[in-house]
Amino acid sequence: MLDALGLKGIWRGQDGHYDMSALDTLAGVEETAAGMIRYVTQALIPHILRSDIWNYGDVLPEVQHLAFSDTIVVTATMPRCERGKEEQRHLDSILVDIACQCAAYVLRESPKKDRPLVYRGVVTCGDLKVRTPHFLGPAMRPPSGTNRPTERSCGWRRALRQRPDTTVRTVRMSGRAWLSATQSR
Amino acid sequence: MAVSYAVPLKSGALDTIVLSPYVDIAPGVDERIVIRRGMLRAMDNQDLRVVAKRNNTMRFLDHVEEMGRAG
Repeated sequence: MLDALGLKGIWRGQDGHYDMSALDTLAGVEETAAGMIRYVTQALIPHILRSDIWNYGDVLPEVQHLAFSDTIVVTATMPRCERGKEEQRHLDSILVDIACQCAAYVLRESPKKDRPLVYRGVVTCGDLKVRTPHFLGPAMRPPSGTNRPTERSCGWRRALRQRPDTTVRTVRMSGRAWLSATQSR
Repeated sequence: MAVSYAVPLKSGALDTIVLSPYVDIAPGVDERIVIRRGMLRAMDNQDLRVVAKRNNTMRFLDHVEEMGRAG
């Protein structure tokens, strides 16, 4: 999930007049995400990743995106089924890599627009139900509320455990890739 | 495309893996400069919160450049 920084006042130009040029950037960034999804679904997954995931069933990852306001969500999912821990970790790492490929190009293209925007966000893995335009996942506690990495990690898992309808998997560090080096909200 | 980095948060730093906006652009290629300038333009605001985010972002880009030079 990525959102643009500094949208406050984005509709006002330097001279105080309304400036709608950010809309073009938002549309362009969404097209970047859509283009990357075409790439991963038509080329990367069927031609390169397929051999890595053939034994997880006769399905390939579904990759989708949704944009609302200045936020873009990219999801890479596989149908839920019982898997061993190692299998799940391997599959998660592939799905995270797919999401990162898409997100990275959003980060790359958005500052190059006529009206540049800076996106930031986080890539994570876990249970997620996707039926666009709806994305349903467990509530997460943001890591900014605690002081030490171990507490953050435990706090997150504890928050997830409060939801009886969710399965909690160990969050690996490689499964959490920050998309920019700015402060979290 | 991704580097280990301590992401500054309001309550401290989080050691994690951060995606670089440079993706696979080689060091020294002008596109990196375009991206950096664009980010500076996007965060051209004197609000102290924006200044902090801008400084954090530039520090991260410097780190990526350093990693590139180190090979």
